Amino acid sequence: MSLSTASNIAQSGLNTVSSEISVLSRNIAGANNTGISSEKTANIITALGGGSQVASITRATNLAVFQNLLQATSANAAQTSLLSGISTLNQTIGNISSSSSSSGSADNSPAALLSNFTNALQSFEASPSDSSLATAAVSQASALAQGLNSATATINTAREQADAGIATSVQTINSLLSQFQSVNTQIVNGMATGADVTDAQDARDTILTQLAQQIGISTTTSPNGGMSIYTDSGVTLFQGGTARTVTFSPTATYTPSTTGNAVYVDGVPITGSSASTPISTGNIAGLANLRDNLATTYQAQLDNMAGALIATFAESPQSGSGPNLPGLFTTPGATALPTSTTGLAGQITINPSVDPSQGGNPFLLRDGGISGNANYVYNTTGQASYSARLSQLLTQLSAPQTFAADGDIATNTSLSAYASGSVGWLENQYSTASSQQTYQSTLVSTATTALSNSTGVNIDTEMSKMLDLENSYSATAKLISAIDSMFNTLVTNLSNITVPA
Amino acid sequence: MIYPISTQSFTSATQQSVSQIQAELADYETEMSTGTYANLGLTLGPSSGEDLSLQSQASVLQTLTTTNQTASTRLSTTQSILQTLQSSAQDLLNDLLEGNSNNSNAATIQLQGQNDLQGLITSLNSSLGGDYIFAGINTAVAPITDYYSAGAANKAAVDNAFTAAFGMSQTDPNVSSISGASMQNFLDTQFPSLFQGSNWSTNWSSATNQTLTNQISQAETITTSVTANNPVFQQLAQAYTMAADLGTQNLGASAYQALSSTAQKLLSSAISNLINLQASVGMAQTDITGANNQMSLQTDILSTQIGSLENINTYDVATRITDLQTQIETSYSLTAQLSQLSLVKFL
Amino acid sequence: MGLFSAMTASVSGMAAQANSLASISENISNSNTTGYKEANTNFQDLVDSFGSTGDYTAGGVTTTIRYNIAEQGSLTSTTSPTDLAVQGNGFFLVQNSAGADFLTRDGSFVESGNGNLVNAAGYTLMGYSLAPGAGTPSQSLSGLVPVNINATALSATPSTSGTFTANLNSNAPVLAGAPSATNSTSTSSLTAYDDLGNSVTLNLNFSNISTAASPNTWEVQVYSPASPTPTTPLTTQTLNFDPTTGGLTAASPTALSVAIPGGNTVSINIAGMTQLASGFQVSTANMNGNAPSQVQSVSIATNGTLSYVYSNGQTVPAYQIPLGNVSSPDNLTNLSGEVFQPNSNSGSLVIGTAGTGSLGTIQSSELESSTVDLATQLTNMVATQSAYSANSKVFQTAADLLSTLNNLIGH
Repeated sequence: MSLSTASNIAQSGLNTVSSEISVLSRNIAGANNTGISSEKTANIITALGGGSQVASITRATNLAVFQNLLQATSANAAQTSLLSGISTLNQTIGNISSSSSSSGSADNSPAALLSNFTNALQSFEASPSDSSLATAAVSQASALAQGLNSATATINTAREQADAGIATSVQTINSLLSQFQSVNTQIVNGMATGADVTDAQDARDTILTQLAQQIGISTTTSPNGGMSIYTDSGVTLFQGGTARTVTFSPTATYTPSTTGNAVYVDGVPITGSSASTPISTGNIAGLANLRDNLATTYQAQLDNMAGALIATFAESPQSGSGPNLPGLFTTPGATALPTSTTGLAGQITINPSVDPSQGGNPFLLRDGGISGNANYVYNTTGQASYSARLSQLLTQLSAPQTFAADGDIATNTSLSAYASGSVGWLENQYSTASSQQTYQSTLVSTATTALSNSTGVNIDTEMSKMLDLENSYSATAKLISAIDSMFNTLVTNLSNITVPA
Repeated sequence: MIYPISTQSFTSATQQSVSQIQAELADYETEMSTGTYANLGLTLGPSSGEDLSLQSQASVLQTLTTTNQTASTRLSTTQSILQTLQSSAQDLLNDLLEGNSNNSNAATIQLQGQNDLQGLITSLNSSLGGDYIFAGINTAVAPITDYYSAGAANKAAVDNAFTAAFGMSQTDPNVSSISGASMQNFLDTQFPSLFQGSNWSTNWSSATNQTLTNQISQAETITTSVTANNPVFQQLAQAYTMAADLGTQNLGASAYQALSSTAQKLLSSAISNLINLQASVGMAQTDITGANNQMSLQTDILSTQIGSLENINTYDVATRITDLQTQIETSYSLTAQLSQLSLVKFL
Repeated sequence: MGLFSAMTASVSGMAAQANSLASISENISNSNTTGYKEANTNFQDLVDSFGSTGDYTAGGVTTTIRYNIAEQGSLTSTTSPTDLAVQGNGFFLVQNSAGADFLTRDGSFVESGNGNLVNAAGYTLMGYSLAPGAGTPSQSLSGLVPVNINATALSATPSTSGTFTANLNSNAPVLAGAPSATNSTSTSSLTAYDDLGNSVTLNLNFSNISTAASPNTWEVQVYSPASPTPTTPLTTQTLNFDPTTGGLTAASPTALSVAIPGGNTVSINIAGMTQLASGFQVSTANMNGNAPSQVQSVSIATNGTLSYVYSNGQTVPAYQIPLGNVSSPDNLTNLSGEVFQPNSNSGSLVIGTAGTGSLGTIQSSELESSTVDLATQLTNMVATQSAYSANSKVFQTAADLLSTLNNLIGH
């Protein structure tokens, strides 16, 4: 050991301290970043010559907690998008409170409209000669038909929004994957050359959390630092440094019979009925669930109600023979009963021949013959207080009937029970999605906090480290000045030596 | 080993809870002001359907109560008309009984018969809210043909029958020559058939035999009108026409005697039938009152059920609001404290 | 002849101290020269007496300059990965512009205009090429080529092997219909590279084809959209899983051999596949090879392997930088530019891989400092100065004595 060695060591000490300070200031700068910002550590080792050197800069990681965060983020995103879709569908119900239904028109659910119509029909049945009650019954019928129409329009809108949401999501995924590709390459590259890749790793983790928002993912890391991404169903999104393409062709306009296109990853469908490996979480999963399952089931319920209304109010021939013909409820221009219920809720309307606002006669509801065929007239003698047909209609309306199973609720029940069952079904979905969302968002928040705690920066810790580093720096500087003064002493003393001449 | 927590989670610790508390506070305040849950569908979930079912049941009961009002009014109108008819029939019967032995008050009887017949027709043609209440279900048409209107079919039929039986019209002074036996024969055979069967429905009444029925509660449907085709009205019409339009004032004593006794028989039978009819109308009125009472009870129960689904516990909510306010204030002051707590401030 | 011998002895002493001072001066001037080895002046006395008593003839002194070539200089870190230092025994093999071979510890190499690594003294670093077809390093001077890190070349490596490990869901229903490109239970994919560096996606379709007779049986089919017949599997294998461990049975194949369209036949190791009651989950999916990409930087391992780091993160070994050594390094012929040459005293040159045998390791981003300690040199200088003065004093005294003698003669 010599003074020069001591000086070299002191110099390396200064270098490492300044590297550590720079890492520390990066930590402090990123302390309140909302993205992934982990605490970096400069790993100091004893250099070969005895000094110190920065061997590497690593960051605090907690893979398990991070995976939890990704899962929770995806699950939360799915529930959030589902919930917002259901909120849209919930517009078809409005406020179901009894106080609002008595005071105003806030309750516009098909069930409430059906109840209003039934009551109007009941009043009309009690006074079949009263034209104002007849008009009221017809206008309530019209309100019911319009309610079903607008509910269908709302469902179509919700499905269109979901479809557009999926399209946006797919774009976001593709753009995130291409960002991921470049960051991933940077990391693999940096790992190979020993560069500091911690910032790139933070960036990659941030991209992953954004990606998890859109689609449920799982990741694996290879020994060279590269990462592969798979959907939660195991379909490859990113592997071998190459992003797989995510494709989706959006559908702009939805009708009840429209089936939305599937999202394909790497050529494999991950949504819809054709998918053998459907994703279960992420924004796309929530939107696809809304678009392909929830909204269509609700639509089927409305269609079944519309079909039941048309069938219940159909008229049978009173003389001669013939098929049953549409009565009060029909579809525009129909001359026969519909054969399929698909989309009926969007088309159902009241027969113009009954509608006083279209020049029709509301008393046809009492008398029959709405189709214009005299054979279908029930009140053949034209008696003003003929109530048999109205009683029959009311009986049929409250009698249990069989509904198609695609509505996912009780199939053998009265129309009004089916309608309230439908409301109960939707509200159940709503409250389930809402409580799920609350639960999942709590999980996200917990996981975020856990991740932040295990990998994040504590400024106080950094500040106290900084004090240590300051001390270390001044001690090293002191050392250098000591070595300097020793040299000075040496040189001074040497010059004082008088060599005998 | 103590793990330091990150500064971000340290300073944002209260953030999540504060925003949650704020949302809850807003909800609770809405609940306080409306008395029902802030987001009913969300709170009730699958019970929303039950809630709507209960509401719809309650509104059915409401509708039935309203429609019962109409039926009730019709029945009480019917009751009072029947009462009037019964008393006027009783008056005529009393007068007939008084002049039983001779034909001295025959003119009075004829006049009284004319009034009563007119009264009967007017009563049976009475309407309520545009509907003829005795018309059966053919409520748009006045059920009884006015006997005194020009060319009335019922009068023409009586006239024809009289002429066919006695070879003269009722106004002919020679009616006094009609014997008691032949009058009795006419009154027992040809005359009653004018008021029965197809003659009645052709000449007298356009009412239907079918009466109005009303569903007065969810389970009960009752008859809520009396049709003009009821035999009691045929008897009354027969008795009144006898007195009014068989030339009563000119009849000989024996013929008058036959007429009077036949009319008395008819009237007393009609009066007892009227009382029966009044009783059945009264029964219907009682049914309606009973149904209304029962439905009002049901409505109360339904309201309670709906209330238990929809209504909040005001005391509970008030307590919660207070708690939340305390909590949010604590959070605010904690946030302020936490932001002061940094090593930087002490260096 | 004592007086004259005293004079010549002191002259030889002065000359020796002058030599010593010269070496001190060289040391001080090279105190910051990378790879410089401190020169030491060794003194030997020259005896000029024949053992006769009473008559003494002073001998004198002679010097030899020795370099402590074997002494390890302290390493200081730098930021350039091509700054190299030897930790331990051994020397870099370098060539001058004329093509002569030398040894050096001066590892301050930088990339020259033509891509060769040249140190501050102008010597080119030599190594063995590891390029495909270059053969095994010969560990002799004959196979040495200049280490060139010219980064303009594109390089593509076709895939040759890969690993795929995943869990197949043991509860997955048996696939309806025959497995095909579009009909399978679970799918995943691997990116491989053909001979020209095109990326080729290999779709791995796993289908549960268990039957009552043969449960726990899966079929794996590998398809590639790049294949001229994308719906015909490139390979098909039946995998049998052990119902108790969930791993592959002993009889089941553990590798997939896939002929990449336009590329090599790769072997995909699937030995780690499992079939457990959990969803389809890929745990490892690797494939070697890389697409055409540029050299981004180089990395040099402690065993002297210089690798190209391509922009896609692939590292490809390009050169082996050997170390040379001799049995007596201190006896190496020292030439200017901190280079040495073996001679008969030093022993013959032995070339080997860094870190093997007695050879030291190569440290990247480090430089070996000069072994000169300034303080020692300064104190040595004072000592030399004193010794010189003492010698001159002896000479002056001898001269005084001689002139006294002359005066005697003159009188």
